[in-house]
Amino acid sequence: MKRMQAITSVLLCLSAVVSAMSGDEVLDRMREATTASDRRIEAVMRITDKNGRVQERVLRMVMKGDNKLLVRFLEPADLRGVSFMSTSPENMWVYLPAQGRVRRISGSAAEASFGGSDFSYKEMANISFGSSRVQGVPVETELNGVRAYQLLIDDGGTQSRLWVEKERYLPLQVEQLDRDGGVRKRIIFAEFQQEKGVWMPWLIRLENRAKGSVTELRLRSAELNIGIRDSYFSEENMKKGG
Amino acid sequence: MAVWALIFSLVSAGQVPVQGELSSRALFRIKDQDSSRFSFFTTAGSLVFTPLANERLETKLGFTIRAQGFPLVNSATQLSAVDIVEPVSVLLDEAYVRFYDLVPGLSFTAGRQRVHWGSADVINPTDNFTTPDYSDPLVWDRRRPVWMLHLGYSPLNALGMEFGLKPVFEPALNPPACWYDARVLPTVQELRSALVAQLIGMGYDPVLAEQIAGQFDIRIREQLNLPGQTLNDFTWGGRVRTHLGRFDFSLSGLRGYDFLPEAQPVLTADFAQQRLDFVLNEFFPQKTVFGADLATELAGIGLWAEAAYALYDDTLLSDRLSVIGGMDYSFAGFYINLQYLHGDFPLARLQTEPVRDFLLAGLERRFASDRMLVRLGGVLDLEKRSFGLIPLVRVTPVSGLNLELTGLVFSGKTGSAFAPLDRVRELGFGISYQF
Repeated sequence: MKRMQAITSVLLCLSAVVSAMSGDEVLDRMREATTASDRRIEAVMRITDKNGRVQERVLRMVMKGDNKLLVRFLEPADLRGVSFMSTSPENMWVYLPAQGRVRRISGSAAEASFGGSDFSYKEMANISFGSSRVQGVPVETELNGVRAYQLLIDDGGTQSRLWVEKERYLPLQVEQLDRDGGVRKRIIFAEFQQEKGVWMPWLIRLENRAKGSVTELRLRSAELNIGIRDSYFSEENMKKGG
Repeated sequence: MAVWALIFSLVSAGQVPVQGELSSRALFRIKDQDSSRFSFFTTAGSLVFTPLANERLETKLGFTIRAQGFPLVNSATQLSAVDIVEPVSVLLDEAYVRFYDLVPGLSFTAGRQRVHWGSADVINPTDNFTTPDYSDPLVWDRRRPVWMLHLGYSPLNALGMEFGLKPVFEPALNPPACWYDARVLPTVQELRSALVAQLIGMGYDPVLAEQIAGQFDIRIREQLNLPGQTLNDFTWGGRVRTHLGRFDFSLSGLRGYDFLPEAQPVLTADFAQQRLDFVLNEFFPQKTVFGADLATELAGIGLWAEAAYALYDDTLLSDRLSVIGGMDYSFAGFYINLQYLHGDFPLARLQTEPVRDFLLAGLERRFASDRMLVRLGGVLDLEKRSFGLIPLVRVTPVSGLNLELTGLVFSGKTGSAFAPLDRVRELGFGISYQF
């Protein structure tokens, strides 16, 4: 099976065209197209487990640039007030209102589930690809009939394949790979809308192949470039509304 | 009454967000000299109203109605006293007004609130504003909110400072006597035996010593003095925190009181009047605490350390260093947490000569898409080798609903940290629902 996967990968690579652009250029263009100075988003997270049971969360996300993020759960009741903050891939904290304390998230816990979803803390922290590094050269290919660049990226030790739409430089899909090169998780970005010159996916769908579950993050509202200060990303603000 | 009517009408109209929790827990003692009985029972309902919450202002009002323990009736006359037949208490939880961004990054909170300091788990020697609540035997890190003013300022995301002022001292809440009887007073028999020994030491014949001691009027009294309400009795302190690379640091200083009392026994024997008075003077020691904590990670392992040095005003008390250091790690679906404590552990603190070196450990794993948590937690008294073990299974069939099955196993010889709980084996059943 693994041999078949390898052969398929080689054939795909041979049939694709190596791009004239470097991987870093594609990634930079993608960040330019999708990163606002700052943004405040309200979203509904819908988690469907392998048995079809559905749970919903409502959360508010405040982002600045491509690495500062503060997420606060508004619903359900048992998660209300829980917040998560990241200012770089190494610096992540979670606030638990029941304990009244902010805790640093250690490296081994970064892979843990974010609010019971299929997203890990690490994936949430890198939701804007702020810490992604390109490996090798991009390959021109097609994804679901859309011309795209395919990049091999490293997200702090996790190798992933990223498809970037060639025309508008929008992220289309990420496939996280396990050690054997198999797909562990697939993240699909869809329903792009442009506001203030910035493209945003209004639906992010994560398929967890290992668990057989799916998490959809659907935006409910978004405000861009509203003048959020760096100091907003503080312990004080994590407790706001907690 | 008008306030309640207003809140009720606003909630009914859906204008005031309200959240709450219903919970119930019982502990059944299966082995001990006093076994086959419920040793602990509590049912509580909490409501938290948030009449106003936006980016600039937040108001909160929370309270808990709690039935704890069993009917305390010991005479038929008391059957007309509803508070004895049904021991229910109303606790005021957080109730505050908080202003955000008075100037950018500055927040101010007035009212009943929780302020938590420290990086360690469960035990935080630097955390001296909010009152420890040991009333639930299974929860060792719960804190009651306190009346205080709090100022928080974060001019940069990597720099924060805070200052608090607490005018009213509220002591710790201990476990209910039906579960843990913190025996601090000697019995008349113990004092009479001590008197016999003293008389023999003075040269009396043992039989005569017994006769003399038997005629003594022995009185035992406990005298607790709470701190006053003068400016000098206020608790106040500040903290500065920052992070550099992967390190979170903070330094703190606080002037305040211990939450549990110190005891100084005074024994007066009047041989002419044949009277022996034992008075246990209890007081809350005033102290100045300097604290530091840090949290970081190394090779995926979370690490933290926290230290507090308490300088006591009372010259009879020696200054005290408390240190806790720990690590946690996640691997193959497991989570492990280990801590070493040189300091006061809640239950052991109730002993007359507290043991001060402990190892705290927890190992847990989640199953069934995180709907089931299996945890084994424990604490070991490193000096006398007494221990407590708390295995737990928690099931969350639907979001917000938790069902718990717990075990409690204690062992400890005389003089050890958990001696009063020696050979206690308990099963715990709990249910809670958050809405």
